Amino acid sequence: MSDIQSDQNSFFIGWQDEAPKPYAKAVRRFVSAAVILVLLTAVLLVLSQRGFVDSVFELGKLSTHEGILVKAPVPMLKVPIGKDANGNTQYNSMILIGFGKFGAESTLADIEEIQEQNLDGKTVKLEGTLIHYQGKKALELTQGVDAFAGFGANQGIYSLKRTDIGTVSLRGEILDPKCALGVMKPGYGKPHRSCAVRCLSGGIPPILRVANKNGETNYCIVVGEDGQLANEKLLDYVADQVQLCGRLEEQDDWLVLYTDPQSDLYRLKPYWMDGEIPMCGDE
Amino acid sequence: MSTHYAPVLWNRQKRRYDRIMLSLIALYLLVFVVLQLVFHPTITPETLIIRATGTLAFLMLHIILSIGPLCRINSWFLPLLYNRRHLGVTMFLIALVHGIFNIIQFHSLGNVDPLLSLFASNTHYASLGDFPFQVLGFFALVILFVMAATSHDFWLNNLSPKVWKSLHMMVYVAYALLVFHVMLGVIQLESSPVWIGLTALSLVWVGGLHLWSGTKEKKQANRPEETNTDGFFKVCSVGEIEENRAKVVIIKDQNIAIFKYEGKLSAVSNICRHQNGPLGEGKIVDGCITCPWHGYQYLPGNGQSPPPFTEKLETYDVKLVGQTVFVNPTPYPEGTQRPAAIIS
Repeated sequence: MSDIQSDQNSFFIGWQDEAPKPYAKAVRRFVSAAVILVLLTAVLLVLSQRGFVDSVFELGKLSTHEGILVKAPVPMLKVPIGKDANGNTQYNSMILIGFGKFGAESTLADIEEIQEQNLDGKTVKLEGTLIHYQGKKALELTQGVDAFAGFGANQGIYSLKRTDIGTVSLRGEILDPKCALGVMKPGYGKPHRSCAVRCLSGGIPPILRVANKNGETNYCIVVGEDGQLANEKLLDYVADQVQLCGRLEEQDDWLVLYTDPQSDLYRLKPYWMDGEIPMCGDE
Repeated sequence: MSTHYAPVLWNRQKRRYDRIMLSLIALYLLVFVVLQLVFHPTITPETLIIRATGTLAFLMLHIILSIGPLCRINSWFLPLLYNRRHLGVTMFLIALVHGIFNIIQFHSLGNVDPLLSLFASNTHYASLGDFPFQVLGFFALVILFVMAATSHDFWLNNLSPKVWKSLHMMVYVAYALLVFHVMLGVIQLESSPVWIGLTALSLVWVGGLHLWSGTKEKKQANRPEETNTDGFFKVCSVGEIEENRAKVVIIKDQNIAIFKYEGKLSAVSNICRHQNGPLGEGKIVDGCITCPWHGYQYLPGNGQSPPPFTEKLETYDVKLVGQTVFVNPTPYPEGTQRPAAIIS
């Protein structure tokens, strides 16, 4: 330590009240550098982030919604929003989700047990926390069975508006609608994988997030070939880029993909490793 | 130095150190949060807390890991070392907030226990790219907890400096885990060159500093050859040792500091009993060898801390032939009084 040895009076001892001047000067310089480092790091990290979508989870705000409860292919509340040119009722569909990382089935079963009737197709009022993004909505039944706020005025016979789009191959990311539509930001990607796995394990219906080259996204609900829950078979693929083949239907305002994950699901490698991916119908 | 244990033995420099540290932490959090709210107003509070604490703890870890080699490269940085354990414990607490919020956010309110979920949600353990990065962060946090919990001198004395030091060298394992935690986690989402670049730069910084200081120490190590058969080794000319300072030599695995003071020469172990600090880089203050790291003191003639303190060093025989200093590397038991060589 030649720099110390050149100044016999200069020796730092922590328990003394004052550090010798050369040490104090060095520390001041270090602290100045640390201030710059702190500011620079914070600014660079924040400004270079991807950013977050304007999805909304109305945390702490319960709202009541009246509509037709539909239990298949996934539990939804179909809220009437008007009629089309042909006089048919149009619906805004809310995917129903239980509290936490659970699907709504068990909560709805408990409500049905209390009400002593099957609520499928009935007009009900449900109170919960709304989650929404780009017109897609989900409703968390935050208060469990207390979410049931009574029956609503009879909306008449509900008829699902189905449009068969045909057999398609879609590329995207398997997610849970609760996080993707607003509870988490970001509600996709590797950091979110564990959460999406928990949500799907708990029975929240999976959705496929599809993005085009412009970054515009759309979502479709993914179910088994016969409309059954396919959650377990999809767990291993959550948060990965995948290709799913299947029959796509438009059901009211949601797309629903009927697929067999065991034969129609492929994990996509990074683009530079991407080999031939079978298209739907290929042997 | 203290003869009893207290949660924190405060002094003026520690208070000043902590004030500066807390101010810098507050500054980072303030700037980070305000900028997030201005430029990304749709961020959720949980994500804001997770990102603010995660990035801050990682930044602090780099500063902590830089202090040791910086002090070896230039002793003017020694004041940063003096209270480094407060920096370490604070960093752990901030990392703990990051970890707790992550477990709440990603693993709670599900169908399995949150801690089980941490290990079982992502099962791609055989894949590098898909590896469950949160598990790496968890183990790093466990290491940081053990270090923070044993940071007090009570544990240093009860575990012995050697064990304590080995335990605290685990910080490098924690650092490696955290680098992979970042690279396999948020970097796979935030693909901006800035995030990758800062992580790579910080890795190069820490690695480079350690290489630099290690190379410097290796070059400085004085390893004299035995010059005769009486067990003494030639060290240097007495004029090469400055008054109240030491010459350090390594002979037969003995790390020895030969101090010159009041017309005398005495040799003791170069390793401080407190935290293995380099006593030979210290100075004789008030008649005592004073460690440059935390100010622990020893009498040069017998290696004993002045009463009521109880730390003791091994001592060695030193002799002067003409103007040449010789030392015998056979150690005497800790605290053994040895006659000093008189400088004529």
